[in-house]
Amino acid sequence: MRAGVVGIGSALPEHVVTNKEFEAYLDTTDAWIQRRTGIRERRILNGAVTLTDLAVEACVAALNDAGREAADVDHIIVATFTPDRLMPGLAPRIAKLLGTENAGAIDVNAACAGFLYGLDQAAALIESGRVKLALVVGAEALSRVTDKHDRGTAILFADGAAAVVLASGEIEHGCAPFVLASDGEHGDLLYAGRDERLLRMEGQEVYRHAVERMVEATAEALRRAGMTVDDVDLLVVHQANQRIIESAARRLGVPEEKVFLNVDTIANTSSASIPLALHHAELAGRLAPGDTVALAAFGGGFVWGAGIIKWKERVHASA
Amino acid sequence: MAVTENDVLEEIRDQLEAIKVPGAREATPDNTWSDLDVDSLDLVELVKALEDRFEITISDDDLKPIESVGNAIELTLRLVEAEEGAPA
Repeated sequence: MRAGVVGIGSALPEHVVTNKEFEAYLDTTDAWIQRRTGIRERRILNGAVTLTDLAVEACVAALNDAGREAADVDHIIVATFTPDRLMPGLAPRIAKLLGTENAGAIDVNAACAGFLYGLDQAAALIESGRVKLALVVGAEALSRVTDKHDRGTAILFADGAAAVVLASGEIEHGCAPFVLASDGEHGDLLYAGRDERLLRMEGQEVYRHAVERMVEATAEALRRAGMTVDDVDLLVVHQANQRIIESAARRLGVPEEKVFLNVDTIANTSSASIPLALHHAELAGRLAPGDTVALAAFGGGFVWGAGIIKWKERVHASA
Repeated sequence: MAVTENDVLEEIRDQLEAIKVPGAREATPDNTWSDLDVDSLDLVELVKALEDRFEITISDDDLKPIESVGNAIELTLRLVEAEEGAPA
């Protein structure tokens, strides 16, 4: 029994913040931001819409895409470190609003690698037979933890949510074993403190570690899946910064046309970034059923991971 | 074959070009990172390229005082020499 992605959906806040808006109060320019990060604009939650609302919208779209009902969902894993409330997490309320019946519901926090950790957990639950249908959600409102007057980080972070439906079935590949790792020695290089509650980052150090660790993990994930870089149809790396993504792709030997980028309009949405990129890749015609996708992410902790999945393989569902 | 100053300069130009630094091909030892608009993330890529090409290791401490193309060439040549002088 394997776990396969059978549906995806996403949701973004309506409010768009362009680079120009930062020129009014930060020593920066649109041209500088684009050259340094690849970002042109980002979406920010404002007004009455909550992160829960966004996540529910993404989940409803994902279930529709999969042709499944909320009542079929056994388990919901939400990757986030910016939930609407400190406690409870987002997952139980999402389950309630979707109308699941007795689904397990839990938040996980693995910073920008959260979606990969959540996907791996959900896949393991399905492979073990404990769960038949799971929702894995990445949902973040990084605007809540962004220092708007820090020129180095204010421009990077944004809000969004996306979800995949993971089903149990007799499929060839599904989600091959992920490579997940951590190194707590560097916890001070990228963090949000308990009192200050703002993201702080040593950009150069994080960049260096992020590229190296994601490249190693992706190479190892390919090896475990019995594949090479030539088997990859699309590389989807956490959309932190265009330069990190391009550097990782160059070192892995993945050509530009196989690398997906939406950081230009989405910016860094932490754990929502990979599922948002997957959905946007599919909408852009860059991702088709049966494609081999390499996923890689890196975040505060440090934590990182990579995984190889087959996109929407035909699932002979067992439930 | 001994590594020359020109070998290192050419590698630096190639790498700056690969990461889309404007004016990469015309870079000279006198150019500072500030002149070239090279930032700290560009430097990570440059260091990695020099390490791979010349089989050296550049530590964070080595990197701190490096402010120009010329500084990077001197550091690279010094580390290559140290590497060659080390017992096999």
